[in-house]
Amino acid sequence: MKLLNKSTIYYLVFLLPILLACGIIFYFIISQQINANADEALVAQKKLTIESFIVTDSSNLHFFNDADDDVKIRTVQKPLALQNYFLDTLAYDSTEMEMIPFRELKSYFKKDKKYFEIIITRSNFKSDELAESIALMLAIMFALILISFIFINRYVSRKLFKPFYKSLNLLNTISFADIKPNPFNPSTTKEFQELNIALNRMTEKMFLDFNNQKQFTENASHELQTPLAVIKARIDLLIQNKDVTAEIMEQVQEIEKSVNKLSLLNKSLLLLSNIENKQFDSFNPTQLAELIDKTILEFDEHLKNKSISLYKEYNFPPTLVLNSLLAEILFSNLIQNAIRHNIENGIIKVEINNDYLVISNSGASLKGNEHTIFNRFAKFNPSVESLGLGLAIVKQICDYYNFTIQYSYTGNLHIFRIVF
Amino acid sequence: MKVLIIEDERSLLDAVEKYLSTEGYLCETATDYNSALDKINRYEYDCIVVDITIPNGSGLQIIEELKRLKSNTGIIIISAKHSLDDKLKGLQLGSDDYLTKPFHLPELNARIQAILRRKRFDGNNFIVFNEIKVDTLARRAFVNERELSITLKEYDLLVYFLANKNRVISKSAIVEHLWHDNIDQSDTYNFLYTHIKNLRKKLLELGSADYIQTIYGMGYNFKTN
Repeated sequence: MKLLNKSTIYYLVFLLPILLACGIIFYFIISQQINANADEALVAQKKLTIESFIVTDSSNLHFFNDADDDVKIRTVQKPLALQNYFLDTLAYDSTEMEMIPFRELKSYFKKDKKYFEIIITRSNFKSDELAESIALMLAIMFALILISFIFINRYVSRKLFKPFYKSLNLLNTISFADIKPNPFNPSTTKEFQELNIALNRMTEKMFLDFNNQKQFTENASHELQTPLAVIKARIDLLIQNKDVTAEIMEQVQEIEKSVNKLSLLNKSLLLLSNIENKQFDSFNPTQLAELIDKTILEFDEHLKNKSISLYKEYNFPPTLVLNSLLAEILFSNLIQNAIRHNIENGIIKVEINNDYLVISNSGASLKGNEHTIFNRFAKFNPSVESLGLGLAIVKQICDYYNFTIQYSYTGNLHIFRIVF
Repeated sequence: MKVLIIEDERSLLDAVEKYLSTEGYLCETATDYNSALDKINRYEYDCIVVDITIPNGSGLQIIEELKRLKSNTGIIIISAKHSLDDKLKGLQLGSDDYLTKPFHLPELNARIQAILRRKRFDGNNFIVFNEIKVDTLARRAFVNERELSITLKEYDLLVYFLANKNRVISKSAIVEHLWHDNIDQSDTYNFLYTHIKNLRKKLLELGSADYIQTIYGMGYNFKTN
């Protein structure tokens, strides 16, 4: 969920009780105001009524009581204090056909040494109606705020968060093989500015570390390859010597085999670290079917040697953007693996679909934990001569391109499935 | 034919020099950037073998200098760096080939010859040796003007032998030359035996002399005398 949407939800959650409290306060203030107005009106009416009562015949109380439903005057023996009493009552309203609230004023006055009680009533506002309208008002307010939040968010995320998304985008696509100094541009927003400064510092540090590591790998390679080159070249010279006997030749050949194995090992380890360090950033569109056909052709002799039958099933083979060297190594290692661990007269099936590739080969089941199949130096068959790095390189290349690779063994087939 | 070898590892430099000298090249050597720069400015070479990592500079700078001098020298990089960057950079700067250490001397020799053939005889793409003639452009081979019906591997093998005549070439060197870098070598030794056998048979069938000799325990020799 976007930060802005999240913050909006928090705002709204906190806004809801605030609006409710406002509603309650509104209700009380408005009802008080209405009561005060009603009371003022009652007092004014009382004054008028008493004035007119005093100047008329006081014996005729009915006249007053009948003339106005809202006014009741009666004589009392013992008056209470001569002041105004206000209270709320309910009374049946014939037009509305329900009980409605009334405001009532009770007061006393004196005429011709007699005490009278006067009660004036006045229909009051309905509190539930008031609450209803306040609630409606608040609901409209809430809806308006919600809608404006959505639009403001959209605008803000476009404007305000622009530098943030820019940095994020750069962070996702940055390649340490080719980095410019301070790639994150300054921002006028303080937080983003701080973030970009931190990112610049971090990328600089990573770039330095990356270069140091790359330098180290290269140096290690150089240091190891050079003596290997010397041994190899010296062997080439040594065998030119006419005095070398067949027996010595055989010894030399054994030495050469080991040197070759050593240099292959060194090369493979270097390749692994190079992929790990993501040092392959040149790439071009690769037609998968074409590349695999080419790879298979290179292994033609190996296939014939073991009388392996090849079955191809190409359905919409895709074009992938890959580094050509890595792509070559990836499929070469997979095919080589499928041949090496195959049986005489075995089969290899290659299935290519638009989004996945399956290479399966016949062969005996693995002796050991199949989860370690992609580990470095994992060897399951001691009789097969191999370094145990081929599939580790395959895995590393798949990781590099975010491909998933799975291994399974069903129906006497070793199945490698790569999903692009 | 003058060749300059620029390499800081003296033992390797010495081995390369010895091998190329017996091939009839006039070899000169340099072990650091300054002496190499001095030599290329003073003399003309037909081919320069240059290591990328050399003291006081880089082999790539040497190539840049050669291009600045508008030299027509053939350039072959030998580098321990597996790094693809250097390879691309070297080829972009105008190097003709790139060989990763460790390499076999017959391989370096074959590559130098291929470069010289391209540089020296413009348009002449034939290797002629006695009754054998190879058209390197069409990748076809002839014995006594009759075309050999050979596979691509056998063709490569023949050219490799012609480049390294009268040399004992180890099986490992031939295998490395014929098969892809990434291909497992354990089986290829058996395939090599078949290829050699077939090539030899085909050459003999068309009346060629029996040049290919087996050196027991080690490899082969394309013997011409």
